[in-house]
Amino acid sequence: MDRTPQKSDFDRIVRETSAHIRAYIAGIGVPQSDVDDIAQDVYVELYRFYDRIPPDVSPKQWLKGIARNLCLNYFRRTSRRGRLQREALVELMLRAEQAGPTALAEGPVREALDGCYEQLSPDNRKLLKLKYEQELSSNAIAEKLSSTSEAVRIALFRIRASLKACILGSLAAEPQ
Amino acid sequence: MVMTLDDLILKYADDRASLSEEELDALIAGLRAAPERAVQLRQHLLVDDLVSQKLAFDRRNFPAQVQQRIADYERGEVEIQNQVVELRTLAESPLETAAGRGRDTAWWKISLAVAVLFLVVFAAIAPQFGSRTRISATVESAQSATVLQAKAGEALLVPGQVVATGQAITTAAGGSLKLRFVDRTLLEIGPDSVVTLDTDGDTRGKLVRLDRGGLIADVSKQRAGEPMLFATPHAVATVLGTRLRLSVDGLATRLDVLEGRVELRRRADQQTLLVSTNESGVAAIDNLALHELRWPDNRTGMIFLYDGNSEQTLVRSPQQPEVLHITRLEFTGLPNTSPPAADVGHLDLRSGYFHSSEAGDDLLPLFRATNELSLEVVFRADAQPAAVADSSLLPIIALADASAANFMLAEQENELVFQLSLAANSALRQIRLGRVGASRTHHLSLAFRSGQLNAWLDGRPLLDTADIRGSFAHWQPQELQIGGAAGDQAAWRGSIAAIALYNRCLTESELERNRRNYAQIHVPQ
Repeated sequence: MDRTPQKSDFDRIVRETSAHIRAYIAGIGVPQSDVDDIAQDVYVELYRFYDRIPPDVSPKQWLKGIARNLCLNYFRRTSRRGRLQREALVELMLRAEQAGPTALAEGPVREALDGCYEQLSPDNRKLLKLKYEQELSSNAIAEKLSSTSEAVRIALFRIRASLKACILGSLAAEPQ
Repeated sequence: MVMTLDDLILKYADDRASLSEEELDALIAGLRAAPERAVQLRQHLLVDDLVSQKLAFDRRNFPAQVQQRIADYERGEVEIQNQVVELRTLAESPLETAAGRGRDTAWWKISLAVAVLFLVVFAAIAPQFGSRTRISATVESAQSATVLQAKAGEALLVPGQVVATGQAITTAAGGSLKLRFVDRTLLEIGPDSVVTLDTDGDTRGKLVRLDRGGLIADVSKQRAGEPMLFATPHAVATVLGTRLRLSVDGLATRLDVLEGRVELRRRADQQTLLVSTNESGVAAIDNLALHELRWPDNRTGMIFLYDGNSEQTLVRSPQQPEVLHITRLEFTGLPNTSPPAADVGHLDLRSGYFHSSEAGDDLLPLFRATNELSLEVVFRADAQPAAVADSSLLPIIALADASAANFMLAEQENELVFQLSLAANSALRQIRLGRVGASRTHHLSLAFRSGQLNAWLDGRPLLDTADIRGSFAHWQPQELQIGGAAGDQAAWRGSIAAIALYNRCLTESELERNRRNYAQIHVPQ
């Protein structure tokens, strides 16, 4: 029978890696509503086959491998035409992971986000709350704010871009 | 219309599922031609999810969700192993009695081998189907709660007991029950309630039927497509992951959302309402309404209100009883003390006390009209100085003057005392309510009518007596006093965040609802 990890070790791994792994799954293109279901599957797989982690591989790297496989399985469950397109996008996102900076995947990114979020204007925070807290579509937000869905999408895109820049700046300023 | 790569990225980043097949093809081709845009898009998706993890209510406790999945996995392994062992044993036992029979023996062996093979295959694939049709919960705590069992009749519930689908649960007056589901969802069932656990026929999600009474639920994130439902005689609330309160009386269902969002659907006409954090939805036979959670909630009979958070002091005038007027509390400072800071969200009674003759004049006829009184006060007591504390009565709030009191709430030797004048020319009736801890915020609720006096501190019952009888007909005009003086020192030291006075004897459920609403809405001192 496979050896399962000590609860304290496993809990620590979940705590330290879950933000990155969930974002990693979203970065592959999985819809947000399914990200956490897949992420939970990833940790169950880690728990079941914990003793298969090679000693020279970090748990986070191992988790990313599991996440990649589960995401590919997820897209394979869609229709054939849709599957081919999704697999092509996954391939592009995985290549982008290799080519792009690693800062967003490492370090205290949640703490950096918390600090950057507080620097946003009240209007921008309100827009994010409508989108993520109340889970309204861009159309619904536009109706609420008497705007257009296009304007809302652009505004959200710009806010996320500014958060990204702020997070990267905070992480770069972290003492080594 | 031809979309540019920027347009496609914008649309995809907003909603992964929003692109048509042609648009997806165009996006893929564009990203292949410009790999740096793929890097930008991916980083955008990372930030998008990080923000969602931070803000979305049902994504905030991911480690707990993982723990639950691990627990499900471990329990599933054990259950399946046990079932396989039991069924194998059952399948193999006829072999012993069939031995020695002629041509039937071979047939039996083949049939049993097929049965065992089926069991092994079933055990291997069973985890895929899970146990979604079985809803059960474990009792965490129980007081005067019973379950109706099919053959055994009504039985008292005890901690550790499992309650399953279809079993009706009843709590007595004063009873309570906490149930924990496998996915960590918690139900706190209040007194005088009837609840049944069930499964929704369409979605296979958990269904809780509340036929009477009230409950508070802390709902863990449910699987997509399997929301948790709360059904009452008037409405159905659909929940994906949130904290809520639900109560039912004969006429209406009230849903208070403490965190998250819940859809409330009225059974009569299927109208729906989306109720968000700190909002309350009410589904009645002829009405479906939404309003903010507030303290106090039901203001019928409320005749005085001080709310530190809104810095409002209101009193009802007997001349215009339908309206609450703004009134002013005067402050009398004590010698050698600085006046308290203004607009701090509470009444600071360390350097003086507050009073109002005008409020006292308004309140007197209102109390005398009904001979009923309810009081809510949110306060924080300092450790009282020894020179003042020893056996002295330290007034917190009173309708009183220098020589007498119509009523008074006070502290004496670290114990709360309530005094009430119930007949002319008679001594004040003094009722001891119980000890009160210093340096933390308390919520005291008290309700009186002749033949009934109840009090609660922080939701915990202090007093329930039928021995107090009388009226307020003899009450004299006196000041409303908050705090008091003992020589040149403050009599009672502490602060008061909120006071509500009523000329109506509120029910336990009303006062408990008020207490919970206050805690939900207001930041504690």
